[in-house]
Amino acid sequence: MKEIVEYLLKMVIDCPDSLIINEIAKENLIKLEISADPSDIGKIIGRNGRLIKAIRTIASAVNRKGKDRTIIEIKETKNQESSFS
Amino acid sequence: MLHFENDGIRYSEQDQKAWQIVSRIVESISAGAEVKIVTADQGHTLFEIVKTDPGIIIGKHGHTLDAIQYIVNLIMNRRRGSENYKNYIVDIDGYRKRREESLKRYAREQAELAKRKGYNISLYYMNSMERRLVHMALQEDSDIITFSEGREPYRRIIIKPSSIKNEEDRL
Repeated sequence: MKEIVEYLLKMVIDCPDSLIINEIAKENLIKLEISADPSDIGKIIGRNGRLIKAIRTIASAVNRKGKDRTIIEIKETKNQESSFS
Repeated sequence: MLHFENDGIRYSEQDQKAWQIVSRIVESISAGAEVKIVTADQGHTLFEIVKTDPGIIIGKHGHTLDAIQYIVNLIMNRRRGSENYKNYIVDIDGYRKRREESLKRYAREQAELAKRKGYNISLYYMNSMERRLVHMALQEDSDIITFSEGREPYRRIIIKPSSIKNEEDRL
């Protein structure tokens, strides 16, 4: 599930290198934590949340075999300021 | 795993890329599923998903099929202006055609009802493609007019009999 979400999101954002997706499997749910460059968060969500909704629908279809719930969370990556310049 | 079968026809690089996206999605939902290009021209490309259970790909109320189609259109048209916009349609087992027919039938039934009762009829919530189909199916009927109201995803079509002139006459 992580692979397909990562593949799709990389094609809609401007900084694919900043995209990090963590897949966390708990008892009866699978959670995807998406972090991306702040400038890309809006693109991932999409107008009226349409893209993230479509991504959720697809992730749930991929994950349908188990009874697991699918959760997707979006986080901003911390600004890596020039601390080592 | 994903090889491009072109049946001797040369498709554009764009169509091949779109095909790849659809293939990757359906393959991850249902291993073994394949995607065919049915037609491809300047403005439209139609993909047909085969070798899998249609129910899984269609999803509840067609949501999964619509999500696949939405994403491929978004990715492919991301850097294109409206004049270069290309429409990708993703179908399985004739679902789009069947859905279109049943939507039109429903729209005509409700239009008849609106005329007979003489008041506005609200249809159920639809996405923009479905609303467009309904508007088109009813545009030749001069006894009624159609318009949409509400905000996505709770936007729906209202069928209003032409005999009603003012808002006050509305029931």
